[in-house]
Amino acid sequence: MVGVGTRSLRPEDAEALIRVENLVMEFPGPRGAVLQAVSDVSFDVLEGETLGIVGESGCGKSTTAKAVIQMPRPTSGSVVYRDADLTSMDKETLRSKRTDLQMIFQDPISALNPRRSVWDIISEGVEIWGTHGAWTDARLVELIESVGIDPQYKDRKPFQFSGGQCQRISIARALALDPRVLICDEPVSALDVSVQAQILNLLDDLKTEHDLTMLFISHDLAVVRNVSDRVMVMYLGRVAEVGDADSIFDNPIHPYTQALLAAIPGSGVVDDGSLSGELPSPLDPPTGCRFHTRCAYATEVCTTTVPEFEQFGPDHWVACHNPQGTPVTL
Amino acid sequence: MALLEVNELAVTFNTPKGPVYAVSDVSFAVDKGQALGIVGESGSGKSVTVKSLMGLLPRTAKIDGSAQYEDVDVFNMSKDRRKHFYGVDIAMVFQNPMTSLNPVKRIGEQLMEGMRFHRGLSRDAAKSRAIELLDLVRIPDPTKRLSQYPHELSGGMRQRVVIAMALANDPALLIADEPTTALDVTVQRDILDLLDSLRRELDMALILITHDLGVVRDRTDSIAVMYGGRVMETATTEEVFADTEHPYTQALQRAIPDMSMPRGTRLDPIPGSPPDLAITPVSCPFAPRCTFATDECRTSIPPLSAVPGSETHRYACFHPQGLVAAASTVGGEA
Ligand SMILES: Nc1ncnc2c1ncn2[C@@H]1O[C@H](COP(=O)(O)OP(=O)(O)OP(=O)(O)O)[C@@H](O)[C@H]1O
Ligand SMILES: Nc1ncnc2c1ncn2[C@@H]1O[C@H](COP(=O)(O)OP(=O)(O)O)[C@@H](O)[C@H]1O
Ligand code: SF4
Ligand code: SF4
Ligand SMILES: [Mg+2]
Ligand SMILES: [Mg+2]
Repeated sequence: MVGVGTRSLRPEDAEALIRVENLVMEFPGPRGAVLQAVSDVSFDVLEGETLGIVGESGCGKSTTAKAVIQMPRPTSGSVVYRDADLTSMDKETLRSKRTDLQMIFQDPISALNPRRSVWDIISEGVEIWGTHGAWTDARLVELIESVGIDPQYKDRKPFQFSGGQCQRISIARALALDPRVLICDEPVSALDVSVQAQILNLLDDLKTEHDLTMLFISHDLAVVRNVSDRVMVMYLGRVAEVGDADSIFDNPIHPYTQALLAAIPGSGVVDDGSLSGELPSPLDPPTGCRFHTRCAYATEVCTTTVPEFEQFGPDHWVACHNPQGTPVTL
Repeated sequence: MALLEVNELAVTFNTPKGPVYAVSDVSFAVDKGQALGIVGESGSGKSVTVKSLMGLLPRTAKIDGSAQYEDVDVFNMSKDRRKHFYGVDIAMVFQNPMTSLNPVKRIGEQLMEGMRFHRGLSRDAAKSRAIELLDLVRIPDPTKRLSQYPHELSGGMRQRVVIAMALANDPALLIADEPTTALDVTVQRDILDLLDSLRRELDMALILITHDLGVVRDRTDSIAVMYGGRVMETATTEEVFADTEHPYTQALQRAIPDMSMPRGTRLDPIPGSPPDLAITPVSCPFAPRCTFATDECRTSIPPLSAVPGSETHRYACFHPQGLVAAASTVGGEA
């Protein structure tokens, strides 16, 4: 076994909407080196669930999210959406599935075509993807209204709107394709705090209204706690801890999760200083547990053997040789 | 003694549609090795304030007031002093790392360029300094990274490179303008913690600009909260959180989710939008969005007043919340 394993996946009959198994994404590095951006990551998302993904810069959050929508296609592993493996799908079939999986990004302004009007931006996808049948102009107007943009501004261009309004437009554009899954990569990180709250409340409303399943990436753990049912903590291309959000935030077991939470006011976790070390390079990740170079609890085995997932609660999985808690057998 | 002292700074832009009062009556000071947080939402004048100090404003900007850096009158420097001022005495890290990095040049070349220009280092000396700097900003494998292009790095890594560039000439003051807000820059905490520890290691003063009060909470000695181009509240960081006076500072605190909130808690956005700075200010800029606004707030500009008993805590508000609450509990007049 090379990775942290797939034990955290829910049983087949739980009917995951997305099931990612042993996902690997490598990029060519300088002088023939291989950059291991994502190494053997497995997770599933049930219909209607929000999975928050957290971890330090460069740990592979965006790469994982983009691999789900096959942009680009992963090096290996499978991404099953409903019953179909997207990784083995030909381009045409994939295209027809892609409207189901929509992504919104951190920088709302550059995500929008500056030369097109709001109306064109939002209706463009509907036309390209041929889902226009369901979308009358009146319904598009309703959609624009539902994200909090006054439809009388529909002929304006992105630069005439603020960052928060551009993010609303991005959200409307994604929703016009009737997606089942909304992948949000740092959707509020570029926005003012006063506007962040508006967008987070909006996403919460739309999720219920459109019955969406969400992948939500953010470096802001308080934001992730606010929106997520489950969380996945990543470190250097691998999953450290995954499971029920309350269980993980209230009772973090992995030394890395503990260190991440420690510095946050209100989290109640005490810092042992283990994050002060250097972040290793994904060009040459540490052997064994990739966190061992910075971990206060590392022992010999950590340097040689990749830890497997063990269970610490009804929905709480941790990959660590020296977990800061007691495993359960359920 | 203050390293930098800004007094009654005002910046007005001349635009075809008339003047824009971007910054009015802004004063603050930063001591050697200390960190000041400038907090406020987009358009509140944070960037214009520091760009005026960096000599980066367009010709259409009219600057009033003064800025004194040690013995240098920042707004009236000689050409010669100027050449060795920016990047050497004061350096700046911008919001979007991609605007500071050349996408078609390797990281190493970009780092070395600045050093060779300012210090006349040889190629080899510049290279070892570049490696040292990348190491300083905790970039793993610094030697390997020298040959990479910006697009090969994650957002957080790019911002580390930009910080390394700013540190090249050991500035005494580093200004970081929303260093974690831009495109693909994530893991604020990494970068912010890095800036914080670099400040201590290098005994450098820091002005940290952000729209998020939570960001400056554990990383600064003092804070200035800006809104509508003005300072709303300024105090030591401790005072700002222990005894918030200004309704805008309070609203900023309430808008951010907190780790202790249960999942799904509805947040408290600040309604409405920031003021139009093209209008000659006659009222409290926050009045249209303020729950406590009265006629007085809508017809006159609240002056910066001192909190009794504090040398450092000032607020611009007719109804300071901490003082009002204190007055009502002791049965004083409201
Ligand atoms: N196209 C690419 N070519 C080479 N390396 C890449 C590419 N895309 C990503 N990487 C590398 O893969 C790793 C993971 O990057 P990714 O963008 O997924 O991180 P992230 O967790 O989203 O980080 P951040 O929080 O900074 O956005 C990083 O080391 C990054 O430099
Ligand atoms: N070159 C310019 N010409 C006219 N107005 C400007 C210019 N630069 C900034 N402004 C205005 O000054 C105000 C403050 O801007 P800025 O300092 O960038 O805000 P922030 O607090 O977001 O950094 C804004 O209203 C902005 O539109
Ligand atoms: S104790 Fe070992 S396995 Fe667990 S996080 Fe630390 S280094 Fe990794
Ligand atoms: S002066 Fe009046 S409007 Fe302005 S912040 Fe104070 S109470 Fe609100
Ligand atoms: Mg990312
Ligand atoms: Mg700015």
